[in-house]
Amino acid sequence: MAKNKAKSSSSHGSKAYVFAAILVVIMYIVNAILVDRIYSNSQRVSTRTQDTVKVVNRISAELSEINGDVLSIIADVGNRTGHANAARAHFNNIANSAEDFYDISGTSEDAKERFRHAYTLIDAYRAQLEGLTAQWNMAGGQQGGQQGGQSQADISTAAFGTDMKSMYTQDIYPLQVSATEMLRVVNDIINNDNEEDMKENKRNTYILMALMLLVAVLSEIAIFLIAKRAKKARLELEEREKNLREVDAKLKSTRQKASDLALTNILTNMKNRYALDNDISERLESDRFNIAVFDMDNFRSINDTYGYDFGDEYLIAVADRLKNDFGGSAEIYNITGNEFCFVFNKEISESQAMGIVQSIHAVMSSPYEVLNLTVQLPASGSVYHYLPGDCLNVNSLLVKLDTALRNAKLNGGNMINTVVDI
Amino acid sequence: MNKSRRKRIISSMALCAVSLSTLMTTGCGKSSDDRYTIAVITKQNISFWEDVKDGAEKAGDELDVKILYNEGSDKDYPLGDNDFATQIEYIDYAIKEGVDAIVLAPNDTDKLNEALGRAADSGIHIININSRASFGAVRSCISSSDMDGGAVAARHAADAVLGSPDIRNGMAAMKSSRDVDVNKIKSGIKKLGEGTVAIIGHTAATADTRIAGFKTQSVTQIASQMAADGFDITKLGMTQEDAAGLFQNFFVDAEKRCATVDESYEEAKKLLTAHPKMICIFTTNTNTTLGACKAVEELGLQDQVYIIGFNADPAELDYLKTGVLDGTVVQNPYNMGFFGVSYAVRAIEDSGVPYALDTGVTYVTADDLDKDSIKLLLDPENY
Repeated sequence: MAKNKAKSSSSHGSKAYVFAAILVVIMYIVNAILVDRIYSNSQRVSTRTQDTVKVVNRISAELSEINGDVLSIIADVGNRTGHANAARAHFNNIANSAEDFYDISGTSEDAKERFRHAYTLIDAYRAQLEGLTAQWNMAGGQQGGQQGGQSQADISTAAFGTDMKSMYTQDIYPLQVSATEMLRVVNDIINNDNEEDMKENKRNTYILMALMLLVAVLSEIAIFLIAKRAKKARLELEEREKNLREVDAKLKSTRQKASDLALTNILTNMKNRYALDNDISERLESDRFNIAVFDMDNFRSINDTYGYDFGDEYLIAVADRLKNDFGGSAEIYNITGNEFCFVFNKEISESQAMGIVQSIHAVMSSPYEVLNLTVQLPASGSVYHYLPGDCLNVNSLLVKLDTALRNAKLNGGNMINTVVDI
Repeated sequence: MNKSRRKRIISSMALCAVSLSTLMTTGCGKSSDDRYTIAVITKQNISFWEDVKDGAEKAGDELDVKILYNEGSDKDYPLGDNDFATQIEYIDYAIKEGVDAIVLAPNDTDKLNEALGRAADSGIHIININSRASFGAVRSCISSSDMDGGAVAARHAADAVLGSPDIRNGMAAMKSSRDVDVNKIKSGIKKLGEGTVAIIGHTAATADTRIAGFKTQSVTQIASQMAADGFDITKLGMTQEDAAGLFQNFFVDAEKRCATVDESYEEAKKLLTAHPKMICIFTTNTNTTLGACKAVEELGLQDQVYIIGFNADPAELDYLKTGVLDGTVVQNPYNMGFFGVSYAVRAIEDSGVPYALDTGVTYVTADDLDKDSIKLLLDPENY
């Protein structure tokens, strides 16, 4: 369970990283789009401004040309009809330019309205000029006729001139100059719009930069926080692993104890039959060794006479003596109640073993001081000089030994029988 | 604990995003911050100056400029066209407000100079409209000449007079008699033209200028057209002065200058009764025009008498449509205000301001009312 928890916490951490990465990518894409938008917008605005200002200036220039033609007509410089036609051509150019102006998209309503007003003035100017050129032509014609005739040509010319001049200053010039000045206001409006758009672009750029800075700072903070959290999680994990190891070690020693108990006779603290099984089953196939089994004859009478506690104390005393006297030359197992098994060390020869067996018999059947009582029981034993492959398992080995032991007891006990292999 | 912290981070991030997006949207909205403040100071409370105000405010709107119109006194307008004291109050207020420019229609040529000096010392640009003050730092004057206004009226008056059947027949008779006696011709012309043109002026100084322009141009015009008709008076041995004197006999002035419609009406009636040969009446402002129209209409003389008025009040336009009023001279106060402010902006931005601008006068007849340029002139706000 602890493991599970650790795993889920680490997956949270990686999710956060993925999330942060996606967020950063999105922010950069948004940033790129916005930057592009701002850039193309400012591009568009400046192109538009240039175009409109160009058109307006062209019209102003045409108006100025027309004014030149009109002045030439009044001052009678060059061909009057020629000038009048030139003026008409200029007016046509202006009409075309006006169409160009309206074709430019994105011009503000104010600029369009002002342009429309200016164009109305230009139109009025044109109409006024048309009317007056018609009059002048007439007057000029008459004047020409009179020049050819006898009468008062010079004063007529003077009168004609005065007339034209006052018509120019009163009817024509104000229209022309108002139209020109209004076109300048159109340019002023366009330039103002341009400035405002540029200012807005600049502001948007600053906002974007601030936004990106903020995103950078926030992601730094996020990374810092996530790293901090990951470090904490790792420490927690290490702590848990340490605890786990401790628990594991404890568990192991407990298990060791339990298994020790299973292989030991609790009373005599000697290895039991299972331990014997463990220790020699491997050797049955390949080793030769000497093995003996002893128990006290009629031990049951002690239990019956003095009680089990007394019997136990007696066994403990016997076992202590056996361990003490023979622990060096043999491994001793307490395989049932009062039955002891001796597996002699490898270096003990068959004859030596027979000698030790005699000593064991003597020790076991000697008197013992138990709970202030002296008790003595005869003992019987069986000995087996085991050769490799004699038995398939420990059980059959013990059956052979036990059979020999039982035979000894059947023959009166207090003796040692040797297992004879048939 | 982890969870609550994450929540806190997310919510703070959300807050940042929201505040940023509001910043963005306010940034995107087209802001019309006023770039400059300009004081516009005009004359007395008549519709002419209302039109100036409209034009000025329109320019302010288009060029992102805040307009202070006649601000800084308990009076909304100067009390008359010589009330320079109120204008000084406006100027001082404008200085106090730290305006960038003043657009002023001076009520006196000289007496505002001291106040204008204070303004100029504060770095305020000065533009005049209507007339020019004698102050040296005035960058430009946008005006419409009253002299020209009178002159335009005169050209049409001359057409009316010389085109009337009585005069035309009389001239033809004189021409066919082939009389070469200068005095006889002079007395003939005098008799023919005497009292044919009436002039009714209003009480302001502009009336004098308009009348002067009218008379001067009329004389030139009549002389020129008669010459074109084969009656070159100077050739008959007359000097220009003689001729001018001769044509002066055509004019009859009203006994007094009129301030109201009723006064003008009375004067017009008197003139029409006293001068039965009357062909044309020239009036110099709205009230005198309306008075003359009322009189002519009442006497049923609209077909005989040609009225040339001034300005384009709705009542005048009504008379124009019914044919009582034959033509009217219209100035362009709206453009005066408009260019006043746009020139002021240029002066502030130091981008070249013409020394003067003539916004012109336009002669309007009933036939012209459908023309775009006349619609623009008469109702620029709705064109």
